[in-house]
Parts: sequence; structure tokens; C-alpha cells
Amino acid sequence: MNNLKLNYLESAFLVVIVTITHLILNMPNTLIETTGSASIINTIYVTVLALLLFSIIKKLLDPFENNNIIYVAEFLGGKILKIIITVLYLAHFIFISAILLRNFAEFLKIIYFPQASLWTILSAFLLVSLIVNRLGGKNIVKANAILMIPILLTIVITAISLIGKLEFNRVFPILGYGFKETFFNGATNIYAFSGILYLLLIKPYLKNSKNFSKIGYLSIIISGIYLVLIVSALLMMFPYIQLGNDTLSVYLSTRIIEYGKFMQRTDAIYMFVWIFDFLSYLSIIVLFITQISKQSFNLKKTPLYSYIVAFIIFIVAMLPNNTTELEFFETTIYKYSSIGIVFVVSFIVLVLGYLKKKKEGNKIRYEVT
Amino acid sequence: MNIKDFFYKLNNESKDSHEFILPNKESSSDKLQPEKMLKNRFVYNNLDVNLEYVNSRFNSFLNSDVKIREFLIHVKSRQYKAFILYIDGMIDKNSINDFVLNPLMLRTRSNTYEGSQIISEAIANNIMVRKRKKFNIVDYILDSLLPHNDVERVKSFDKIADDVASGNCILFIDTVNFAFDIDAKKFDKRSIAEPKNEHVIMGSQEAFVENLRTNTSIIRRNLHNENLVVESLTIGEDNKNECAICYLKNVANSDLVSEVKYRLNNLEIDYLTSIGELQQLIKDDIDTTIPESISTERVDKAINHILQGRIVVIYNSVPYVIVVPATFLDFLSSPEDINIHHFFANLLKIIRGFSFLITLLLPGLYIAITTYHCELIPTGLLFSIIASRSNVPFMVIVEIILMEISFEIIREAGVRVPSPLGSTVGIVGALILGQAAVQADIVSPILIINIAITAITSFAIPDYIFSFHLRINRFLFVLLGFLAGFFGIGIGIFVYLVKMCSLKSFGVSFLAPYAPLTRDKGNGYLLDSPWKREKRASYLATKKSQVQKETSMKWRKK
Repeated sequence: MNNLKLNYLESAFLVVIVTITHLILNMPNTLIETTGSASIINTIYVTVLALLLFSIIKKLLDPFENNNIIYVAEFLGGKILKIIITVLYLAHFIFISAILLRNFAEFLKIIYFPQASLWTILSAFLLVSLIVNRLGGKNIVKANAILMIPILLTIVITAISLIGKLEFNRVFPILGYGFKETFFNGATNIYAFSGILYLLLIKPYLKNSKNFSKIGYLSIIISGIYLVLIVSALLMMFPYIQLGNDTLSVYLSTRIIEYGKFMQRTDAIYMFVWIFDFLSYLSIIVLFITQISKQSFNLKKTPLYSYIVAFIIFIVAMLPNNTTELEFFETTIYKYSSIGIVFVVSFIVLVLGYLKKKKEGNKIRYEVT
Repeated sequence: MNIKDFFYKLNNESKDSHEFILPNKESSSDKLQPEKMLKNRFVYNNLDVNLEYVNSRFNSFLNSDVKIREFLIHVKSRQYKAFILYIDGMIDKNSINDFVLNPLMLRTRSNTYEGSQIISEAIANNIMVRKRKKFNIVDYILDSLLPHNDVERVKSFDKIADDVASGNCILFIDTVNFAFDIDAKKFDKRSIAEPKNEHVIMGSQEAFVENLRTNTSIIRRNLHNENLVVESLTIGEDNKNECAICYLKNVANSDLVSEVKYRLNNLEIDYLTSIGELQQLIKDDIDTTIPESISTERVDKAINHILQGRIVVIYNSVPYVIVVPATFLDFLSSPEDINIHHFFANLLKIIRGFSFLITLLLPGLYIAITTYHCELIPTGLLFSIIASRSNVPFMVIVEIILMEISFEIIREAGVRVPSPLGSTVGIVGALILGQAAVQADIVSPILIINIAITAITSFAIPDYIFSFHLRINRFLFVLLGFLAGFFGIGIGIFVYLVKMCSLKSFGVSFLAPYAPLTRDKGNGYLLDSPWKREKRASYLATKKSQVQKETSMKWRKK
């Protein structure tokens, strides 16, 4: 189908990068805002939910061997459903990447480039993602796997460096706004694992599809650990009422980290590493958009298509008029669109596809007997 | 001389003097015809025709060193006209006199013997039966009159021309429609010496020389294995220079060997004079300055690579060899690593890793920090940097580029000047000029420290070409750091990393074993202890992966 063949760790890190990028931006705030002091329990809870959900997804995808959800959609509803699902996914990818890009660009503008125009920063990001996509999708994934090590390390270092500044009594009351808020309404926080979308698409690109379950579990566990780590650190660091109003809390926490007299402000170093994270994330999104479009629309001129995708991302990123609008897009629309697309629509398609496959299987068995 | 004469002379002097203008192209196209006609010919039966042809092809009337010696051969009391062809200064004259001319020209028992050669004899019923060989002048000469160890029959004049050019002596005999190609090469060559550019403390002190055969013999002498294959081929049309590829037949991947041969055999060029050109001509990605093969003058390094399953390409007339495939980690490894305790070696490897980062990034990071991320610097140090820069009239990027270029000039001058003056250039350039530049407030002292550290770390990179690549790319990071601080450098590193991931050296990923990530033994950057180096690198896909048994130190077992 294509020449993009990924190994076990490279694929797992594809999912992890999505979670980490959201972690660095505003996702921890949204998680904490929903469940208050119960965020740690809630994060563990949604990690378990994500693991369960993945085990179901794995089971539902099993009969389709090396195929992904696009194929399942085609199998279920023909070309029309395949195109509908593809367009839905493309819209989701473009929306998320554009909103995150805008958010990160705004953030860089405020901190480092107050004189620069926003479109310059946005263009720089998109230009890089186009350049690296020209160098080959496989190479982006390889680079992502290498970069994950410093990225994950900086988050651990951040959490460790904050230990002295944490107030452990901030985790109380342990159930936050109550049991219902933590476990029922808090279940919507599963959107933190929207990287599962990649798991739904990744199967045809795996070197060895037998590793699919290993990749899924590993990526969800790593993402879960990091979610718990950051949410705990932030929860114990800032009062959760304040967190709801702050943006980029992880960055804010790095500003107060000191390493002796020589290194009193190290936030720029963390930011340096997170820039890799964001570049990698954006390049992977452009790569995936191109790959699934190739699969669904039988595209031949992928470079030209990548330019168009980058341009659309740029336009969507410029849409929010102010940061309040942007925050609304990021915390509300993104949250519910992720839940809708990743955990509802995809799930329905998978279940129906599975049932149809099973029915056809039975039919064939019946005809044989 | 009056003024009129002066102006006349001024105007007309050039017309009187000799002036040569090289025409753009040789005007007469038919001048190429004879050369074309001379190609693809075979040796004639008639000696005179051969002689005339040889005279024409080798321009023997113009070439003072092309020697043709005509003489008479005595075979069984018969005489045949003959001549030898060679290039003076490239053959062993004594060998030709003693083992070619003497036995053929002088009357000896061999060439005056009238009887025929007995192949076998047997006695049956008291009757002796002798089987005799039918007389054939060519066989007779080869079997009895040319006591030389390397004689070949050749028919094609093209082959004769190549062999004469490489130092062989050719014997033509009347009535014989081929020639005898006698390998009697002997010419002055540099003896094996110490490596000049890749020094180690504890390792071998042998380096390759310009002569290909000497180089192959050094490898043979140090690598005692009947599976060592040395295959020869020629590169170039006008200058058919010999090239050899060396590998272990039972270790190196066959596809890799075929690929190396395929690339070398498919170079359509007139001539090749350097190993650097060859490196570029056989590399996978021609858009990058990152080298994709290792060049080394060290014999032990080349042998180590052959034993690992790589292929060594030796090119005649160059004292360096090429090793393929190469990965990024190879450029940070030194032959010294295996000579010392693995703990020290790993420490040095880590230091080289840091040197790589510093060489590439330090000036860029300096500019990024001082321009965009001042908060990273402690306040006291920041004040001191600002104070030291207060009188410098240039922007920091101009200051850096000025110093970098100055340093590159000093380095280049240091290479070019005669060796007794080399240290003087260094002292004058680096110490005196640097000090003067700081005192004159042209540059700040902190920048001198920065540039000096970068320069020193670039010398810690064992591979010269790779170090060069880093030095050039450093300017790019300086620019990115200036334009967008850490953001710019981050972009640069990301693109650079993806580019490195895209590179391949003869089918092996340049960033192997880290991209794609493999967890096999024997792949890593850091060295295992000698008793744990059990496997060859898996990315080389060798025929034999095991290097040593799991328990290599058998003596420890009771």
C-alpha cells in the first residue's frame, strides 16, 4: 500500500507525542478544572478506561487483519462511508493541529517574539513540517522516536525539580467535587488519550502487525504515567482554582525551577526541547493527513497535497480572533470533538464493521457446511 | 625618447611581443580520427606491422621513456625476430635482462636443444614408450625460455596499452598473433610510514601508502584469513587506475559487495585522482555534505572494519582507503577506543559526543542566549558580558561571523604554510591577533573563548570530512540562532535530524542503530567490555553475526 513501515517503538511514540504535546499546552488545566483535587484519581481512572477501550478496539480490529478503520468504513458502508470517515478525520486532524499551532505560536510570540507577527511564527512551523515531509514520512517517525527521549526526560526532570515546591495537602479532598464528578463527568477526560486515533489508523503501516496490541498498551501506559506525573505536580503546585484561569501551567511551573545560583531561570531550556516536540507533532499530523488521504482518495501528487494541507492549517489557525476564543476552541470544542470522533463515531464504525464481518464469516461457514 | 615615441611604444608594444591565445576547441575534427582508429585492435602475425602500430599508439618517437628493444630469439637453432616494449623507470631492468633477454637471445642449452619435449615415458615388454610433445614455439617459449613468475598471453592492444602504462613489459614475436605480458614492475615508491593525520597512542603505527599492491599486501599481512578477498577493477577511461575492494567472503553481506562493485563499475569518468572524489561519486545522497563513507589512512582501522563485515575500497595512488557502509557513530569513533580499557574508551566517546554538539551548536546557542534568552545567564555574568561588549561596534552576529571566518583563514593558512612556519601562523593568528582584537574592542573576550572552544572541539572529531561538515553547518545554526533564538535552533536541529534519518550509506541507515531503533547486541555507541563483544553490528546484516563465544575467557572456568 505504501512504503511507510514502522517498528514497535516508533509507532508507540507516535501516540505518546500527541499526549505529550497536549500536556505541555493546556490539557492539564482542563483535566484539573473538571475534577479539581480528584484529578490524580481521575487521570488514573481515565488511563484504565483508555486501556479497556483499546483492548476492545483491538478485538474489533482483529478480523480485519492488517487494515485500519478507513478500510473498515469502506467494508461497512462502501466508498461513501469511507469518504465520510476520511473527511471527518481530516477535519479533526486539521482542526487540532491548527488550534494547537495557534496556541503555541501565541505563546512563543508573548514570551520571545513580541515584535514578530503571528503569521510569521505559524509559517515557520508549517514550512518546517513541509520540508521534513518532503524528506520522507518514515524519517519523521524515526526522528520523533529519537526526540522522544529528551522530551520525556525533560518532563520527568520538571516533575522532580518541583518536588521541593509541592504542597501535598492540595490533593485533598481526595474526591474533589464528588464521586459523580470524578467518575461520571470526569470520564470525558478520556479525550486526553485522543492519540488512540493514530492506533485506529496505524495498522497498515506496521512492520509487524502482531505488535499492534503491544504498541497500543505501551503508548497508553506511557501517556498515562506522564499525565499522572504532570497533573499531580501541577495540582500540588498551584491551587486548582487558580489553574482554571492560567494557561500553559507546565511552562509556568518551569519558571520557578532553580538549580543553584548559576541556573536560576531554566524555562528557556525546557521550551527548547518542547519546540522539538511541537515540530515533530505537527510534521506527524501533516504526514498522517497525507497518508490517509492517499489511502482514501488514491492521491498521487502528495507533495502538492501537503502544501494545500499546510495552507488550510494556516488558515484555520488564523481563525480565532483572540485568546479567549482560542481557549474555548482548545478546551471545549477540541475536547468534545475528540470524544465524538475518536470514542463515539470510530467506535460505532468498528462495532458495526465487526458485526458485519462476523455475519459474513458465519454465512461463508454456513455455505461451506 | 620623445613623448610621441613613448605613446607610440605604449600603443604598439604589445603587438610586437609574443602572444598566445588558446583556441576554444581543437579546430580540426579529423585529428581525432587516428586515435579512434588505434582502438580495438589485436596483435598481428607480422612483427613489422606490430612494431609500426606500437610506435604509433605509444608515440614512441615523442616519448623518451617508451622503450622498444628489437632483438633475435634463438629457438632450436632457428631465429625469430622479436621486440620488447616497456616504459623506462617502471620496470625492473635486471629482471628483464636476466629472465627475458638473456634466455631468449643468448645461445644456451635450452634454446639450442633440438629434441622434442618428453611428456611421459613408460616401459612395456622391455620396450620404452615415450610420448613427445609436438613442437610449438609459443609453448616452448613459455615452458622453457621465460623463467619468469608472471607471464600472460594477451591479444588486445587495449589491454597491452593498459599494462604497459602500469609498468609491465610486453614481448612481441614474429609469426605469433599475440604478445607475452610480463609483470616486471619496479618503481620507486614511498615506504610504509606512520599515520600523519590519525594518530593514536597505543595502536599500530602503520599507514597506507600510494601503491595499491603495497596496501593490499599490508592488509593481507595483518589479516590472516583465506576468506579475505581482494578484487581488482579499474576506474577511468583516460587514466585507467586500479582499484581494489577488500572484504571477508564469509562475513560481508553479498548484496553489499555486489552494490559496491556495481557502483564502482558504473563510473563513467575519464579520470579520478583522489579518494575524496571517489567518496562523492559512490555516495547515496548527493545533496548533503555529510560523508557517507569513512576514509582512513590507518591499516588497523581498515582491518577492524573488514573483520566487522564492511568493505574497504583501495584506490591506487592515494594513501587513504574508503570504508563502506558508514554510520553516524563511526564518525565519532576513534581507532584508539579498542586499544584502551572500555571504560576510558566510553568516556572519550561521550566527550566526542559533546564535542560534536559544541562544534555544531555553541556559536548559535551563544547568539541565541545573548539575544533572546538572557534570563538563562546569571545576572552577574550577564553584566560582565554586556560590559565586555559595550565598546564593540558590531552586532553579535557580525562579531561571530568575523571571528569564525578569521579562524577558518588561520586554519587554512596553517595547513598551507611550510611546516616550520606552521606554529608561527598559529601563534600570530590566534594569540597575537586575538589579543589585539580584544584590546582594540573589535570583539569581546567571551566571544574569543566561545570560538576557541568551538575550534578545539572540532579537532576532537576523529573524521576530518565530518568535522568539516560540522564547521560549515555551524554557520547555519548561527544564522538561525540570530533570527529566532532557541526556536530557530530547534527548527535547525529538527530538520537536520530528519535529514540524517533520511540518509543511507549503502543501504544502511545513517543513524543506525538508533533510527530505526534496534535492540540487538553489539550495535550501541558505547563499547562493551572485550569479553562481551559477542556480536557484529546487526545493521550490517553480516553472514556471520557471532564474533566470540558467550564465554570468551575460557580460562576463567574451572
